[in-house]
Amino acid sequence: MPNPFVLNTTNREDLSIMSIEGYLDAHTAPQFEEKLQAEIEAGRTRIVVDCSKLSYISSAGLGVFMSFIEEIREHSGDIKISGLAPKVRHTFEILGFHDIFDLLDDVQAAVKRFEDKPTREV
Amino acid sequence: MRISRLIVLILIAVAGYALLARLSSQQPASGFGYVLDRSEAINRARIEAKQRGIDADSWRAGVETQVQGNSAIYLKNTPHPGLKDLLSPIAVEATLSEPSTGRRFFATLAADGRLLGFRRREPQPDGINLSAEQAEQLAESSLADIAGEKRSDFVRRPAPPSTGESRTFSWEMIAPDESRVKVTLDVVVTGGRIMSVSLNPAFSPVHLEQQRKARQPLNTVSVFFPILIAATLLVAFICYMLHIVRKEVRHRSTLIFLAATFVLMSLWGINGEIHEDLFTDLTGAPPFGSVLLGYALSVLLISLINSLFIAPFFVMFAAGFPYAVHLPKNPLNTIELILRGKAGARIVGRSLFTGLSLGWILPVIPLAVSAYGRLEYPALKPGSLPDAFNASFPTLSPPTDFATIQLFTVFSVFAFLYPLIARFVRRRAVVRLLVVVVAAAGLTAATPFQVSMTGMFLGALIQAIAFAAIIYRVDVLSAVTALIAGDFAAKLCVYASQPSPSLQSSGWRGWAALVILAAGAAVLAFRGRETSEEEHHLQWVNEAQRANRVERERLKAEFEVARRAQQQMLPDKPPSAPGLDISAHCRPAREVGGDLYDFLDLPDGRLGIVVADVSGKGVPASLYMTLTKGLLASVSETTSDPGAILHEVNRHLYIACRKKMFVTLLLAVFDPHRRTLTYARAGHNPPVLRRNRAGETTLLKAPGIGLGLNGGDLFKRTMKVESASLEAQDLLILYSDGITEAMNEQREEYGEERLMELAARLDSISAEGVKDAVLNDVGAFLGRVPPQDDQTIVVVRVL
Repeated sequence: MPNPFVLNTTNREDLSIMSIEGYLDAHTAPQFEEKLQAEIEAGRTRIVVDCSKLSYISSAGLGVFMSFIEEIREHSGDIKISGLAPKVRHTFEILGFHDIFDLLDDVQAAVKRFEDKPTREV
Repeated sequence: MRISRLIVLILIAVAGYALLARLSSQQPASGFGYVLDRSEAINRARIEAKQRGIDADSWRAGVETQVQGNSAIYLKNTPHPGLKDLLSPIAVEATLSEPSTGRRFFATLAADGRLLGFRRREPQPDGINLSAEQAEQLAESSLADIAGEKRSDFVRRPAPPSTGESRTFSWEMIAPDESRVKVTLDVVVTGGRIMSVSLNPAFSPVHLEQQRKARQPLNTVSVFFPILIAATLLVAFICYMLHIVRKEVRHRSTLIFLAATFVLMSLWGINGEIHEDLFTDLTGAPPFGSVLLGYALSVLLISLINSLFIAPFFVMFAAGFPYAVHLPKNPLNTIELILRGKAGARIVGRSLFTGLSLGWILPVIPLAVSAYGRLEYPALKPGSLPDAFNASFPTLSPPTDFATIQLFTVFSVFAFLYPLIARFVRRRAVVRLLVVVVAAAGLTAATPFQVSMTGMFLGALIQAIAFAAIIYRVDVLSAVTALIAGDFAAKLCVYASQPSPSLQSSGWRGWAALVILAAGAAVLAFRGRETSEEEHHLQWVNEAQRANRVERERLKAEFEVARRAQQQMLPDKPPSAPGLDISAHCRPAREVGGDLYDFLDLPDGRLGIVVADVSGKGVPASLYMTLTKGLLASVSETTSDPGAILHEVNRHLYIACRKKMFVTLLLAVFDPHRRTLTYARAGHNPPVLRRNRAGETTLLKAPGIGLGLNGGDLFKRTMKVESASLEAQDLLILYSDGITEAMNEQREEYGEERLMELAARLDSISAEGVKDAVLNDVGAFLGRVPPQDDQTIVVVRVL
């Protein structure tokens, strides 16, 4: 039962908008991790992760967000997470991610948040 | 094999071999008119010697067949009919010698028995001194011996200056057509004896040009082919070595193969190839003083050399086999069965029978291309057919040059290159095309057309397709059998068409041997041992597999140790705390897991209950789980405050995890006297609290982020320790995400709601009963889907 997972990245000026779809779990997390790593290596540290089509996230998936956030914020960048479905948002909140990350309703709001608050302290 | 298939194959074989016999008359070798076999050639030589006053009946004798290259070219290129009675494309040289005196007589005989010339060696001069006229008269008598009725066409040439005691006399004949072929008869007289007589066709520039043209395409191929052979062998050898290093092939099989080859080659040697004249200088004593010993040593030596020649075939096989086992149908399977000493299998019989029935295809192709495409079949390739005439049939004489090159090409392409290519190229059509083109390129070198490159490639392409078809439908053993049978049958056709009764009967005996072999193969195909499906695959790599299995079992045993160690790390049984009924369970999804529960006796006398989940699964998670347990035990020695305990554990975990992991944890502290619950939640699933009297079910969602995510203030800032007062019969369920996020086939999660609803229905049930009910309900929800994550649950009922 391989879980479906799709990852698309678009660039808007200096923002990278990564949209993730399907199941982000232990099997698919490495793909996401690789992509994030590549973005950071390319110097693109202002990232919006659009989760509007994300239907499941496991602890391994959540770990990916955490493993890069410090490095990104040291470079004055940030990861803003947008469009979480209620169930997925619930998982984020259980873990306390709403205290670490900006969780926005949609990509538009996330882009706007970058203007108001380009980064935040860890 | 089914009976219908057997009958079809027999019909095809009869028709095919009949076609081969018919087309075989096109082959120049069929027109040799060979009346000599070995014993007849020796007999003739003795008669010729006697006519020259030599009684050689008790002398030792040897026979060698020779291709007369120049004569063959003359005969092919000139229409002059007289030359046919004079020259011969093939000759038998019979050697008679008397070791004690050193006297020798060499007779050169045409295949049809005519005398073409002779030489003699006489260590002792005869003491006769002839005058020039007498000597010339003596020499002229040879003209009648050799030229017969053609002697009037020869004219005397001025004698060259004599050297020492010998006098040379020459006659020459010039063909009266435009080819102006010149043939010289040279006679050497010493004392009163004729020492040598020889016929020598002389080259003209026209003939030299013809010869050059005839060789050109063969030269191109002869440069290209050794490079191809060397390159393929090198690659195969490297692969073979790699397989040995990776233990994918067995050394023992190499030895078995070489031993089997050696035995087969010895049989060839004993049966046909070796005669006394091949291993002793006929003029001297046999080596080591014994004919038998010399013979044995020769057999040994020749067998060894032939075995070494076969070794590259084994390298190809062994290099290709580990790739071949991955093909849907392993084409090397039957060869491997034979090497394992299981030649009695039905599928071996089937391969052999199919190969024997289809062998005719391969020699028929060049013969048919030559007959219908008007392409020239070579008069002779040195070293191809004639040597076999020395053997007595039925013989297992080695394949001809022609078949050797084919055999090598077919084996290297189909036993090695095909599995190798198929391993790395997925598309079957591409693999087949590649293989056929490579095989055709290789076979071009073996296709016997001396003047047409197109013909050579066309013949080779058809052969390559035929081979590929046999290999895809049956296997490599079948194709190799076909090749050897075809070559053998082509020889038999030539034998049977010679006038010599003994060669004819050899031919027929050979056919009989083929039929008996085929019958044996057919019996094997029906009555042989059945092989299981498993035997058809992977046997060769058995040893490597066994090694893997041993390794796997060792790992499994170690995992079992780790699993038990981890289980032992969990509390044996829940503590008997006054006023609380506790039940707990942890079930890892794999051998080892990342979930943890524990009971802490806090310094102030309260009881702490911990449920934690390390992100990820398996061995890495289990290591961090152990670390977390240790940290909790050590920190809770000195403090009873849930917030302080978690801050301290977080600090250590943050350093140890290096952002690769995090741990969610719930710490619930019970004060049984005051009936209060104080808890801290580090990103863990919120526990379910069921208040019995009020009939309320809630989730305890105090804020807090997971452990190990942040080493600074954020953790402290976000965490809030909360409290609740408890009443009798209140129920608290602590769990990991393996419970609420269990996912069924429809990708639905079990979810918190289901858990809360279930808790509401279990008001009067003990902690143990609640735990079982939850696990059973989750199990029923999952159905056939195995749990993907560790499931941990701790149930507390207030008494």
